[in-house]
Amino acid sequence: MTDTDPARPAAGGPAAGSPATGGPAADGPAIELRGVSKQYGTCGQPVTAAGDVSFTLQPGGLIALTGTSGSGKSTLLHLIGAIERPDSGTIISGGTEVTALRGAALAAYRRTVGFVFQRYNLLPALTALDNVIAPVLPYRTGWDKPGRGRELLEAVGLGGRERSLPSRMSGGEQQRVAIARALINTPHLLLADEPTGNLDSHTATAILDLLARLRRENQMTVVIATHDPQIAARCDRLIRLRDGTVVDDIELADGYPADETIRRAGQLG
Amino acid sequence: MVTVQVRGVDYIAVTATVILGVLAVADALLISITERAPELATLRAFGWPERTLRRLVITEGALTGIVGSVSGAALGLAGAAVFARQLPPLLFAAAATAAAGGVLVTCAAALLPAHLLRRLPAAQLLAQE
Repeated sequence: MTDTDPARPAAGGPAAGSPATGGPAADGPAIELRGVSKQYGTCGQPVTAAGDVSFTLQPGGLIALTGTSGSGKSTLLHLIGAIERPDSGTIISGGTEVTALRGAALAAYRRTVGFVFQRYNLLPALTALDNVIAPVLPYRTGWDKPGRGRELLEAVGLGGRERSLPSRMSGGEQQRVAIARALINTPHLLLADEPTGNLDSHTATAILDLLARLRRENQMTVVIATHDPQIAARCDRLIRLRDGTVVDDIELADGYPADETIRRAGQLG
Repeated sequence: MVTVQVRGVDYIAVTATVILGVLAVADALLISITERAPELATLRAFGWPERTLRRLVITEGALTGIVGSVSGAALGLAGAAVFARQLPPLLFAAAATAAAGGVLVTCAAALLPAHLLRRLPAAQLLAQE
C-alpha cells in the first residue's frame, strides 16, 4: 500500500518523468536558524551540542560546517534536517517553521531535504537502484521511480551498476549511490555529514567535485560538515563551530585567501 | 493404543506454549529492529512516516506468524496422524483455530517493537562525530 506524497506540489509541479522541487520561497533564505540550542544529558552533566546558534543560509550556497569532533556539526545538520528537535529556538525553511512540524507534515519536510552520511547508510539487502528509490517507495509520486533512479545513478557515474549490491561496491561507489539516493526527491537542501570521511583523498576529491556539480545543476543549497580544511576551502562559506557555538562565519566567495581558509578551518578547539 | 483426548494439563501446556510463543516473536522482532536500527533511522530521515515504519514491522510480524503458525499446525496434525492414524474432524478445526490464533498473537506481539520504533535514537544512529 502506498501513500500520496503531500510534499509534492500538485500544480506547476514536475516536468514529466521527474519529481518536483519542494524548495524555499523564491526570494527567501533556504534555511534560517534563530537562537537554536540543543543539549544532551549524560549522567547529569548536560553537554551543549548547539548553543544559541543563529545564521541564515541563502539558496544555492555551498557551506562548510567545520570544527573538531564533538563541536556540534552533526547535531546542527540533524536539527536542520528535522531528525532532531532543538530544546529552544526556531528553524525556518521557505517560510515554514520546521521546529513546529509534526507527523505527516514533518515527514513531508524531510522529503525536501537530502542527507548523505559518512558511512553511506545504504540498505545492504537492496540493489543500488532500489537503494536510490528507497526514500520514495511508500509513495505514489506521479513519476517513474526506477527511471528517475537510473537517471541519478547515471548522473553520479554509476550507469550500468543498477543491480549491484552495496557489498560489491567500493566506498566511493557506495557514497555515489548515497548521493543519488539523497537527490531522488530533488531536494532544495542537501546535508552531507563528513561525506568523504571514509574515503581516500583521490575519491574524496571526486565526491566533492560531484557534489559541487550537482549543486550547480540542481540549484541546491549544500551544507557539508567536515573537519577537513581542504574541503572547507572549496566551499563559498565557512561556519566554524566550537562547543556548539559559531566562532567563525566567513564568506569565501569574494576572494578570501584559500590558505587562510585552510588555516581557520583547521584551527583546533 | 493412542487416543486423541484433551485433558486439563493440556490446556496448561497450550497456555504456556502460547505465552512462550508471544515472547519469542516479540524478542525476535525486537532483535531484528535493533540490528536494523540504522536502516530504519535512515528511512525516517528520508521522510518515511512513523506509521509506514510501524506497518513494516507489523507486516514482518504477521508474515512470521503466518509461516510459523500454518507450518506448526500442519506439522502438529501430521504428528498426530502418525500416532493416532485416524484424526477426529474436530482436531482439524482445532488446528485451524490454533493457526489463526497464532497469526493474531504474533501480530499482537509485533505491536511492542513497532511501538518502540518511536524511541529509536535516530540522531545517535546516524551521527559520526
